Amino acid sequence: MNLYRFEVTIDDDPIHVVIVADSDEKAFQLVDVELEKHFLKMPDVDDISLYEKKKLKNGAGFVLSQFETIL
Amino acid sequence: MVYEKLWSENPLIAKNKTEIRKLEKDGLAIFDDIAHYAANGFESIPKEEWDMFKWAGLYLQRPKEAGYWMMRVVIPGGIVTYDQQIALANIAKDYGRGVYDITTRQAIQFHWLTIEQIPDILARLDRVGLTTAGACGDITRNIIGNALAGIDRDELFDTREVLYAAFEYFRFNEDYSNLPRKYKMSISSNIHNASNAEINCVSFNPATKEIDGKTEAGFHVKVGGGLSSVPMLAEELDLFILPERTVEVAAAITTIFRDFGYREKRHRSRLKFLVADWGPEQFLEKLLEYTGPLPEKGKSAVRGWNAGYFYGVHQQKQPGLHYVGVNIPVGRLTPEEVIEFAELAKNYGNGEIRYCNSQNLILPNVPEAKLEELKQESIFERFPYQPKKFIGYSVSCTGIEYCNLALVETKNRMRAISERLDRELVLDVPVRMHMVGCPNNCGQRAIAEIGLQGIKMKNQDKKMVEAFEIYVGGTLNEGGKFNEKLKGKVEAEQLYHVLKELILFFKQAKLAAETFLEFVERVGKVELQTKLDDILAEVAI
Repeated sequence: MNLYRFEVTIDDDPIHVVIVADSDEKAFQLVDVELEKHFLKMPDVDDISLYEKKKLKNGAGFVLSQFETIL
Repeated sequence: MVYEKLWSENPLIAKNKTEIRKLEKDGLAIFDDIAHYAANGFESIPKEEWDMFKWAGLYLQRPKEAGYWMMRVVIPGGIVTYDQQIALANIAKDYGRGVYDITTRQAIQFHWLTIEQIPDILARLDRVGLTTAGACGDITRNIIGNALAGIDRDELFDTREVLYAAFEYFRFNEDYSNLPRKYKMSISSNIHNASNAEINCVSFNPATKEIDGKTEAGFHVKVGGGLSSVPMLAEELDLFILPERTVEVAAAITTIFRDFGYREKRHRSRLKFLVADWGPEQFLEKLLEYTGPLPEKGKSAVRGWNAGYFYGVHQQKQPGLHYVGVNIPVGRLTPEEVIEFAELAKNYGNGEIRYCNSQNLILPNVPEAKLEELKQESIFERFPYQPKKFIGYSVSCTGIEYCNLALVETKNRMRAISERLDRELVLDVPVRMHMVGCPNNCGQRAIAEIGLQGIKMKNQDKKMVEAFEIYVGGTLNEGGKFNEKLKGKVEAEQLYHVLKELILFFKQAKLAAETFLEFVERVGKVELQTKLDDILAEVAI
């Protein structure tokens, strides 16, 4: 199991999405699911990028202080 | 000498399992247990013991439960004898599935080893005077140096004696085998900063100073460098030391790190965090408490940065002798190739080979009379001593082949891209390209002229693809500067095309002999970004 750090760009605006999944493929699928849960009306997604993954264990985490995506 | 573990009473380290474990049992003690575990198999090793194998230079490959080890062998200063090369090659052949990697710290790595094989491997290494102690773990790692030490016309003085003295001092020294975290040292007097001073925890760098009316050659000292996910460039201390005091000063700096370095959290334990908090002045003040008065800085002898590249056939400082600097693409050899190089070194030189932190190698001590014959050897068709401008200067991390943190394939991709660029583009200068598969900088992306960092993304067809972000303008010249990211994400399939277009732009707009770094500094990031935008518009994901 891994902890994944994604950046999703919607209308030229990046957002962070963090996912737990057992594979990269699954993590991408779960990003879509989380976005569907989050937005009442689904926006157009410009870009979904995976920047980092860590093994899921005590202490795994990310600081989301800035965006890596340069717009 | 028994020292007091000042930090052992610190209640905060009680939360750090590794620190508690290190207090219970010194890391180097793992060597005493290896025979038992080898006799009883991988299953007999308690999980909580796995990490202690680092002190023996052993990491479990992922998935850890499979029980395959990566082994790193310490090669102080990168210098190996004929017998050592043969022993190393045979270990890779007999046990390591033929994988032989030169690392960016002049060491050697094997893969696919099982615990049952380790005693024989350690015995083989011991017979030729090699060790894995200190290759990994919270200890002084392989001390890197000038790969040309002792034969270099561009060195201030021969640093081999000092480097070996430091290596011997720290080797199996239990006073320094429980450091807060990994600890990387370099000792070099090459005037082109061959040992990448600014990205070591502590580095001894060439300098001169007038002392009692006489110009003395010695070292300036930098502390607190390191890459990883929070890269930091080392800071210079206002200090000049004579070569004979190097070990004493190195021991004092290491003692400061051992006793004052942060141990509560492993992710904030590297020396760079202590230096960042203290600053170089406070650090020096503390250092002088251990060493007594030391002269202030003299004059740096550093005249640029060669990134550890020594390609070509060159005269040594010894009249009539030459060295040949050879390109080993991404640092990987087969055991047969290692043996072939060892035989060349024996037949044409003195049997010695030097490994570089650029993951290449050097055949030293070749007499003038043998040079022409050596140059005709067929191995140089595969491993040229005058490599082309891209493959000769490409660096890559391990990537997804052995690393579970990596998001993309790197080693083979970097090699393929560089070789193709060499076939299709001719430049008058090399371009240093580094590829990494995650943000952790193992492939030293931050100091590359062109850094390529892997990500994964969904393309236009909603398909998950490997992709890269591009960074430009990294260097360790004049204290160093990390490269900066350009806007845009490049699908791996398009990476070659995008890089080629970007480099063609450089080729057309550059001045004669201008490097990519100089070009970035002259035209600025904005112009490069504009060009990249144009290229990406053609190949939009």
